[in-house]
Amino acid sequence: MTCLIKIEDLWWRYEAGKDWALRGVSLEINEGEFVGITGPSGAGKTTLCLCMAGIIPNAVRGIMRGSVSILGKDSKTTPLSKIMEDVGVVFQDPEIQFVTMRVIDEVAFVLENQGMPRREMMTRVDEVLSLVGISDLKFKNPLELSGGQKQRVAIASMIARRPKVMILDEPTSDLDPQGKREVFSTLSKLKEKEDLTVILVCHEIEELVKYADRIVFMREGEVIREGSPRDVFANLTSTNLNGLPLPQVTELYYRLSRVKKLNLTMNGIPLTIEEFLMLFGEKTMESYRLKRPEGVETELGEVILSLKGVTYEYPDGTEAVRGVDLDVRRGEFLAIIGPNGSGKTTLLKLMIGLLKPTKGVVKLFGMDSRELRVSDIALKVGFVYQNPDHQLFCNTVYEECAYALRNAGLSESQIRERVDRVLREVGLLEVKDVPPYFLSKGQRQRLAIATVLATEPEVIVVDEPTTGQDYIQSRYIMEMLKLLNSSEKTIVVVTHNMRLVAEYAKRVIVLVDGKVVANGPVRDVMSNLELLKKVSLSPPQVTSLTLKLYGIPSLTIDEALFMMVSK
Amino acid sequence: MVKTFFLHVEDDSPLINLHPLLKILLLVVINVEAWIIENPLILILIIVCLLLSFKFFKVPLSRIVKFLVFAIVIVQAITVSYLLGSTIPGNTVFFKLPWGTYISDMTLLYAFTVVLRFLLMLIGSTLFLAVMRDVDITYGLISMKVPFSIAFMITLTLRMASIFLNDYFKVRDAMVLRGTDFSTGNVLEKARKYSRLAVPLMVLGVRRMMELTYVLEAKGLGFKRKRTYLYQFSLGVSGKLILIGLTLLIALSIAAKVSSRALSFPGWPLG
Repeated sequence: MTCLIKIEDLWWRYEAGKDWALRGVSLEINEGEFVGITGPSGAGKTTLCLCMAGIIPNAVRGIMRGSVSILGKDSKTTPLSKIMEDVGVVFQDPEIQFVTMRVIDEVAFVLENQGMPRREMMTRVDEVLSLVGISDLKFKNPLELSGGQKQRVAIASMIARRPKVMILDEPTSDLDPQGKREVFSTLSKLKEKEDLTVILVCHEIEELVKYADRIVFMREGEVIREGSPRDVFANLTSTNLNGLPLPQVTELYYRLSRVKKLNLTMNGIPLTIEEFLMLFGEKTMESYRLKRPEGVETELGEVILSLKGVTYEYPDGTEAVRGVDLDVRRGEFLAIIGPNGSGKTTLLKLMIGLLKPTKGVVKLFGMDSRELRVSDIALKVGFVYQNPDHQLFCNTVYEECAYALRNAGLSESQIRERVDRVLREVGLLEVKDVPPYFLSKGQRQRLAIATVLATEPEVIVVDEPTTGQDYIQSRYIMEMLKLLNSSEKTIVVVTHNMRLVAEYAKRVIVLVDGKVVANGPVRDVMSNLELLKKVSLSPPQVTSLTLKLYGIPSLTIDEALFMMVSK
Repeated sequence: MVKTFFLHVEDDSPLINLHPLLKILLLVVINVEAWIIENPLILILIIVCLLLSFKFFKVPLSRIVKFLVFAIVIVQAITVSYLLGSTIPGNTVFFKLPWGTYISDMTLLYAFTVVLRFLLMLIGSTLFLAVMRDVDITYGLISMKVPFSIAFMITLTLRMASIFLNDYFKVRDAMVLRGTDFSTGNVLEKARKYSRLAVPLMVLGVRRMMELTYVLEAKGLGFKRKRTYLYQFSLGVSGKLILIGLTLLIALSIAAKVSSRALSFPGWPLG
C-alpha cells in the first residue's frame, strides 16, 4: 500500500503560543485508508490536520521540527498551491467556508482557481454534485441548506479538484444525527468509489468505528494510541481510554466481562449492536434478564414557564415555532431535541424573553413575557450560549462573573463572596485575574456557565452545551447541570447528543418544523423507535440493544448491565 | 426565485439577467444623478418613476419599508440641520434665530430638495442592490478591469457581513441577558455599554478571519495559474446601447448643470 502522508517526529509551536501544540508526532497515512482522528479538546487534532494539508508551515507562523511529506513532497519546501492540488480540506463551520451564494458557484470556485476550461468545469461540477447526491441543490444558496447538505456541498467543492487525500476537521460537530449520517455515508461512498483517502477528525466514536479503517487517538499534542478500531479498544483496563469514550456496547461488554459469575469468554470486542448480539448470542442474553428498570419519580414544583399556542414568525416570513403548548415545572430537567432548523433555538429565545411571540402567550413566573424586559428576566433565568465566546466580554474572569451582579445592584462584598464561591465550584478561582480569552475552550465554557450561576437563577437554559466539546468536557457540563437540578434548579437543554439526553434528562420534547411532535418522559420517547426514525434521530446504543433483547429500553449502561446480570 | 445579497427576486425580473457591469453602473448613475440634480420637480419625477419601476422589475416594494426607520431618522436630521443652521436667502424670512441663522422660504424648499436627493439615493440603491448577486459584483468589477483578487474581496466582505452581524446580535443579546439595558442612560453611558461589545467581536472576528484564510488557501485562491471563469457575460447590442445611454446621461447632466439652470435649484443664485 502506498504511503501518501508521512509524518516523522513532528513538533509544532504557534508563533504566539507558549507550549508545543504537537510533540513528536509520527504517523503514516496510506492510500485508500479511512483514518479517524479523535481525542480531547486541545489535543492538537486541528493543528495536525493543518500540517497534513501543508497550511502549516506555509500559511501559519511558528516553529516546526521534524518533517511532513505529502505525496512525496516536503511540506516545508513545496509551495502550498502544489500541495493543494492533491489535498482537499473541509472545516468545522460550514458557513464560514462558503465564499459564494450558489452551490454550483461554490463547487466551480476551486476549479476556476485551478484554471480549468469552462466546458470541462461544467461537466465536472455536475459529476461531483451527483457523486455526493446533491444534484437537485445545484442552484440553491448553500447557507439555506440543512447542516448535512452544507457539509456535502463543502465536500463536493473539495473533491471537484480530484484530490488524492481529503482531510475533514470536525465536519459533523454542528450537525444533527441525520446530518452526521449523511456526511459519514458520503465519505464512505467516496472512499469506495473514488479510492479517496479520508482523514476525519471527530468525536462521534460510535459512528467512527463503523467507517474508519484506523483510529488515531491524540492527547496533549501526542499520538497516544493508534490502530484498527478493534485494536484501539482491545485489552483496556478502564472503561474509558484517557478521556476517549468507548462505544456504549464496547463499554457494556467490558463491564459484563468483569462480572465473574457470568463467566463470559472474551472472543473479540463488539463495536456495534450487531456485533454485541453475535458475540453473546440473543439466547444467552435472554437468560440474564431480570426485570424492567423502574424510573425514579421525583416530585416537581409549580409551573414556572408556560407557553400557550406560541408561534414565532421572523421578519422574512419564516415561521420557526408553530402553535407550541408547553409547561415547565420547577425542578425539571427538560431536553429539547430535533433536527437542525427545527426551531429549537427560537423556542429557547422565546422561553427566556429574548423573542416575543407573534401569536400566543409565554408566561414566565406567571407574567406575560411581552410585559417583561429581558434585563428583568436575567436574574431569574440564565442562558448559556453554544459558543462561550459570544457571552464573554469583560477584562478578567472575576469581572465576567461580577458583571450581572453589578447590574443587579449587589454590594461589592456580596459580589466578592458570590463570585469567589462560583469560581471555586467551576475550578477557575486560581485564574480569576486572567482575561477570559487567555483560557482554554473548556475553561471558557465553564466560565460561561459560572457567569450564569453567579446570578443564582431559578431556571438555567443551555443551548447545545456539548457541540465541539470532547467527551470529558461534555460530561463535566452535564454533571454540573445535574447537580444544580438536584438543588431544585430547573434545567432546559437543547442538544443533539442522544446519549446525554438519555442519561441526564427527565423529560424530552421533540421539535420538528417548529411543532412539538413528542413530549414525555425520556424512556417513553427513547422507546418510540418509529417516531425517532421519522424525525431522523436514533436512541443510544444500549437503548436499542435492550429494546431488541427484552423489549425494554435502558437509558444508561448501568441500567443495561443491571438488566443483564441481576438474575 | 434567485437569491441576491438582500432578498429573493423572480427569475424573470428584467434586471436580474442584466450584464453585471450595467447593474453596477445603474447603481453608480442613480447616486451620481442624485448629487447633480437640485431641481425638486425633476427629483420628484425620477422618484415616482423609480417607485413604479419596482413592479415592472418584479422587485418587492416592501423592501423599502425595511429602511423606513432609517429614512425617517435621516430626514429628521436633514430638516433640523437646515432649520437651525442655514443662511439661505429667500423671498420671505419666517424666523431669525439668536445665533445668526434664519429660516426662509428657500431654506424650507432647499431642505425639501436635500430630502428628495436622499430618498432618490435610497430608493434607487434599494432597487439596484435588490437584484445584485455576488457574481454580479465580482464580474461587474472585473469588466471594469478591477483585478479579480480585489473584486472577490469586495464581494466576500459583503458576504461575510451577515456572519459578523450575526455575532454582533448574539453578543448584544448575551449582554442584555446579564442585565445590560441599552435603552437607558445618556450618550456617554450608552457608548460605554456598546464599547464592551468590541472585545468579543474583535476576538470572534480575528478567529473567523483566520478560518477564512485557511479556507481560501484550501480552495486554491493563491494559485498562480491563470484563472478561468464559470460564467461568460456578453453585453450584446442592447447592453452596449444601455452603456452608451448611461454614459451620455451622466455627461449631459453635468453639461446641463454647468451650462443651464435646468437641473439647478430654482432661484439660484439667491440674494
